[in-house]
Amino acid sequence: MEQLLVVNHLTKSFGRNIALNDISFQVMPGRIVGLLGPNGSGKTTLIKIINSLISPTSGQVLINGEAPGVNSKKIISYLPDKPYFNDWMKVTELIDLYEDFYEDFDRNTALNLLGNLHINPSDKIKKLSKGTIEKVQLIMVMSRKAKLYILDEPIAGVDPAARDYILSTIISNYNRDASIIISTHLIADIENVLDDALFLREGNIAMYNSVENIRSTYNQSVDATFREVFRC
Amino acid sequence: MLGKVIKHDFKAMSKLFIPTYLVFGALVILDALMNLVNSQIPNHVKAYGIIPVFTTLTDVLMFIGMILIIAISPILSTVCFYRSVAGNEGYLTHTLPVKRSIIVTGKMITGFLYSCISLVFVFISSLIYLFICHHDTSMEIISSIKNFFLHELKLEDFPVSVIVGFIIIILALIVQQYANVATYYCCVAIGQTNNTHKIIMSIVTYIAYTTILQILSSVFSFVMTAVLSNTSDSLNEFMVRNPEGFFLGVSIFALCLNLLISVLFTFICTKILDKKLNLT
Repeated sequence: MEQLLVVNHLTKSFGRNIALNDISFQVMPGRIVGLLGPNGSGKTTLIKIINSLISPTSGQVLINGEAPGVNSKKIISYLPDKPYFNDWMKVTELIDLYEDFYEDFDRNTALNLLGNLHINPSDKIKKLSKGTIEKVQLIMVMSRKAKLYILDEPIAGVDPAARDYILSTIISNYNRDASIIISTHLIADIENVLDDALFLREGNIAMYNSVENIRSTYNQSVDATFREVFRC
Repeated sequence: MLGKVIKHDFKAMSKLFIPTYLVFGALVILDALMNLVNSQIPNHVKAYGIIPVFTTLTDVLMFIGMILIIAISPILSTVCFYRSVAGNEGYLTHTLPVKRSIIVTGKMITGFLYSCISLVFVFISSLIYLFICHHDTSMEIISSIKNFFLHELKLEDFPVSVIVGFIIIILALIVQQYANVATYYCCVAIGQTNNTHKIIMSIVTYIAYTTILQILSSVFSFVMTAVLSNTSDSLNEFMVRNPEGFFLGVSIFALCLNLLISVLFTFICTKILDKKLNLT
């Protein structure tokens, strides 16, 4: 089986500040990978490079064998860590936009998920609460049949009930052959759904292993291991 | 994909432009009504009434509105561009499976279209105002224009070069609208290269660009004057002998210059967003 994502000696610096320092790893299809690390460890920078939102200083990223570009965007479904919709839009206009640009977008899935949450598609984004906007963003992202889902802090800043909804939406809607990269520092909440965990510390990979191995090696949960690795 | 980019961008920008047009349209109607009412009031009453004061006020407001709507169109377009490319909406814009060149070109075309729509809107509003308030005068003007085009204007009297020159000048003016939008958007893109003060950097870039352009045109005028002072006789001779050729030459130069600016700034804007995109 070919790797879905290959990161090769990737470095990104902003002036003197090195955000990512010569990191290399691979993600195989069908894996759910936790991108874990404290604030400022380089998680969002890595995600932005994979999504071709910023260029690396050096090194290489390959998605399905290709550098980030139009083809990679066709197969990546990305959830940023901030609200990114134009707030004048109605939810239904957003669905039209996704349907127009993404061949793998499933309108019915989106409408069903919105219906489950009693979100009216004719509502304007600006009239929705912050939590509901986050759910709409997630619904748009998960209504695509993408090969790689990249979710940046999907459960940060939401209440525990909403976290459960978000995680169940992710797990029940992703294509089983696809991979998911979830960036978070709320490890306890997502630990049970992860296959692999990648710990980032100050732009370096502190650990990349399967959750199973981490648990058996350290004889404790990934969350406890994270706390140990990143103890201040 | 270009069509889809334009379609969605056009819709997004309409949320800013339509209210602006509605406000201006309401102002035109209000002003026309005030003028109508004012014209019905006898002169001896007018001197003591408040209606003439309001009519003058709405006249002034409409005039200011006309200038503002043309002036703020590029600003509104640039705000939309900034939000969708450099603001949080950029996370959606730049992850669409579309080439950056198509995104930039699509957005520039939309900005250009709104600049043209604003001009047409102001022109039509002025006609409506004239038609309502100065019905007889406007009918006279329309009939003179109609008469000119139908009976007096004989294309065969004009050399082909003059007609071609006029067409090229109109094309140059249209391309200039696009070039203006491309200039604003390119400044926004250059602002992206600064990590902390992106908006200030964009404004400074625009001011620097216009200043350099002023200096260059002054230098160019100075050099041309110096050159022409030696060759003025032959140039004058050429202009007298072949005025159509001179007019055609100037129009082609204007068109080429605007085309060059449009292409150059579209290219620079695309390259910067491709290589130096810096979403925070």
